[in-house]
Amino acid sequence: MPVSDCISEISKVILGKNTEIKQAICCLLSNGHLLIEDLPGVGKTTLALTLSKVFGLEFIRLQFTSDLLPADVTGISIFDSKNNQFEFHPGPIFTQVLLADEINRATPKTQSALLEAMEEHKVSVDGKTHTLSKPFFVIATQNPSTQIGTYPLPESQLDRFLMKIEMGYPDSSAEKRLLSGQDPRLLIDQLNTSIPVSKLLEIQQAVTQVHTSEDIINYILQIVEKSRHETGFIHGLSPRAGMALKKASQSWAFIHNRDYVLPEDIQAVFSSVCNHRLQCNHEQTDKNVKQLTNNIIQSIEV
Amino acid sequence: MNIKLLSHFVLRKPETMVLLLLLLVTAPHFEYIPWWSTVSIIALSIWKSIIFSTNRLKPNKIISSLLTVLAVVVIYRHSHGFSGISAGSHLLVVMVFFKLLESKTKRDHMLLVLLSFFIISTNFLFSQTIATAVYMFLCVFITLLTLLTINQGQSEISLKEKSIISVKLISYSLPLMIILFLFFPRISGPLWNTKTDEVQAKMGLTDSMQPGQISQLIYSNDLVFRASFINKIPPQYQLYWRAITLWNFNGKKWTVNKVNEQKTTLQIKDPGYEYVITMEPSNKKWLFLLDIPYLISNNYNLNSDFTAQTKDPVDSLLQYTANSTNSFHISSDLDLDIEDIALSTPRLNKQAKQLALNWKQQAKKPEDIVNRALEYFAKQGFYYTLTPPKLTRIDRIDQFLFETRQGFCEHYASAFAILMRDAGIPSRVVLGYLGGNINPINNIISVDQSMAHAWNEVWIDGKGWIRVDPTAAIAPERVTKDIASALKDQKNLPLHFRIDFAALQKIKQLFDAVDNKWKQWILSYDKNKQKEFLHFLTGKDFSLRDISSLFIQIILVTLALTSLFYFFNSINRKTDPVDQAYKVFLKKLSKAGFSKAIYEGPRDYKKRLISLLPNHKQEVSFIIEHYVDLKFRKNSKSETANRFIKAVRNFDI
Repeated sequence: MPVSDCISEISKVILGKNTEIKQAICCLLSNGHLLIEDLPGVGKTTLALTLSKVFGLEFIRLQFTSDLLPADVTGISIFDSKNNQFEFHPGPIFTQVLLADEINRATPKTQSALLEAMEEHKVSVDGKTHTLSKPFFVIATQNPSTQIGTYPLPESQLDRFLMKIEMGYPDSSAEKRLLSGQDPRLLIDQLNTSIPVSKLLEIQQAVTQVHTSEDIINYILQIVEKSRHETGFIHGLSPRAGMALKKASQSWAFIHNRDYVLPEDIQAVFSSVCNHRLQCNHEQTDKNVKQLTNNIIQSIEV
Repeated sequence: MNIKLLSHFVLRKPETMVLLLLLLVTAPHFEYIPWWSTVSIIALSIWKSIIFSTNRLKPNKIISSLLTVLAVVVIYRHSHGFSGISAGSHLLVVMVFFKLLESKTKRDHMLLVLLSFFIISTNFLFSQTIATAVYMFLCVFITLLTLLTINQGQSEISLKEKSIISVKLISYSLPLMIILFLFFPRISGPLWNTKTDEVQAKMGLTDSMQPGQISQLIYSNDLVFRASFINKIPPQYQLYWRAITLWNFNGKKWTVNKVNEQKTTLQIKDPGYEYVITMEPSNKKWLFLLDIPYLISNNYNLNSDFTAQTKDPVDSLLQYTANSTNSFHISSDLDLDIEDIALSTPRLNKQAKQLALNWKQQAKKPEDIVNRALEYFAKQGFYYTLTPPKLTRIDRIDQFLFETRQGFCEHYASAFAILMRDAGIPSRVVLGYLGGNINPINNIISVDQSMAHAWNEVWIDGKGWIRVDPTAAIAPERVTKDIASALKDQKNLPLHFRIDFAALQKIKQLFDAVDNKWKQWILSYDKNKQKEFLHFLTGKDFSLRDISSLFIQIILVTLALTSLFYFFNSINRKTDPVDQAYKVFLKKLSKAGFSKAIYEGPRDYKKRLISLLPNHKQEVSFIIEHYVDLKFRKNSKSETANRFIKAVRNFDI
């Protein structure tokens, strides 16, 4: 199965991060976007690079800074004196994989320009609509928002990301291998493209066909309901979150060579899909979102 | 026999199960069918088991047809046709075993099971005791077990599960049973009137009396009736229950008088006793009433001799209320025709006549003669015994009075009546029962056949018919206590009089009380009681027609409600057999200590189970993978479900 080949290829570079690799692929296959929140230097960029290399996708990295303007992301119309008309110069967003590095350093205006494009899969400049390429996959990275000089993404924007994951430090054996081996950036060039773009689009289509039985739908419903009635959150999960959960679990099942979703799939993707969509209310300061979402899963019978 | 062995060999296979079932349901009939039928049934059963175990000795078509025809002819000859309950059930019971002999397919077995249900209901035509009811419930249970065994197919259900299903089925049908019992129209017609069979011939009083007849009854402790007194219970010596009066004596035998007497009017001085009698079927028309009755419930008329009769022989439990008193006054005179009958003698007993005339000359008033006679019995060496010497001479009264002087109540009553008639005092014999066992648990008096008694009544002008019991003169204990203490030769006494362990007595009383309730509430629920019940429920009177239409309405409403219930049930509740089976599977595992965390998905659970229970790896993965298939795959087949359910059933840890 090609998808598992991809995983093994990527894990040659990203050592000891199997779950995170799968989560990233899961986002790609279900046509969602990925937000990685972690400290610099844990391999966020490498993951994005490797991913685009393995899937043979066009890759652009865009470093977000506080002076980045929306037009720097989407592109700009410039008057062409030769033809006597405005000509659209596409911005970095017109790519297949966009690594939006440190997205929370940019001003909200720029952030929202990107996020709108992510959602709509198109960009409107000067009244003209330009469709983005297919597939379009955004991997945004974010420093923990406690750092100085960041504009934390508002909840409404966070919702646009299918998953938010943390890379975390590699375990010591993986780190040892990393230190004793080659520079990962150099390794990337040696990787093979396992899945061509055309195949990827097929897979994305196939993922939407993964069977979710009535029991699975009921299970998702129960989870969403529970998050709305459980005290501890400011708001419950939105319908979009429910749909995201379904999409992610379908993709997760596909990665595991199944054409049907199991409750285990939902449980596997649940925290990465939902944790960033939920916020603790003030009574629950002693607990974090992770614990509360775990409670939800553990209280629903399958 | 080892129970495990039994369950292994008998309860698993439809063939053996059907054989066992048929033997169980037909067993009560063995009492009523002739012995050669019982023997043939057993022979057929043995034959069938040989066929089953060795697969040999199968009867060919000709032989089995010949045997069947032979059996039909023999039964026809035996019972002179096939009409009537006993002949019909006899034929059914025997034929069902012929069917068993040739049964091969599932369809045959189903037919036999349905016939078993029918045979179960026929048992109630013969006996309606509590024991029968309990046994029939057991039979229904076994029948359901058999039904499940036949229909289990490839998936073997454990005996325990089958039992649970059967008990459930029975309990579901109980409400319907109660409704049917309460509201099913009691039609008194030929449908129910099929009881007049030779099987039903009962022991008891007859409408004639000759020496030796009553003493035969002493050997039976069959219940005759129960009486429950409403206010107070009369003392033992007043418990004279009258049934018939006998007038005509031909020297050998006392018989009833066909001529109707004039109506005597009673003037009641004291209301006396009010009581309810629950009478066992007697196949006779007369009712039992305490001396002297003056009022009787329902449609029964009191005759002038203070007896009462029903229109038809009493063939089922009968209940009536009556009032009796012993403080009354009769104002009318004795009719001349009646006096003639009450004075006529066969003129055979010359010595007796002589003795009576002798007393008459010396007496000042009729009472003196009565007292002389009683004194004569008491003092002239008369002996009260169950086994008197046989009276053979044509003048039997003389033989008894002057020779043998040993007799039972019928001898004394007979002799006394003749003596009185010879002395010119009109007299008659009364047949009935004397005494009764008071059950301390419910204060209900039960009277059995052994209390049969005969006494006399004499007409005294101005006083009316006066009860005289000559037996009391010889054996006063018979009246004040019971028959056992009255008889001097205890050796010949039937066994049931000799048992007097306190504990046994207690159990007997308890059983008697329960039996009484059973009869009061269940068996005596007839047309009238149904009317009363409906009146109690609605405050209205119902005719049979109303009851029938009400019954049909109730049935329709019940059907509608149950179908609605099932309809909504199927919508609202998950009755998916797969879910249920999975629950069973989880229960089995959690009993063994490997319970699933509630949030644990099937695959995760499987992984954990396999690591915990490597020995059960195959079964566990088989079951869980099937479950996953059924619940989460797109197109799962129903075969998968069956295999899954079967696997769960067989799963054992």
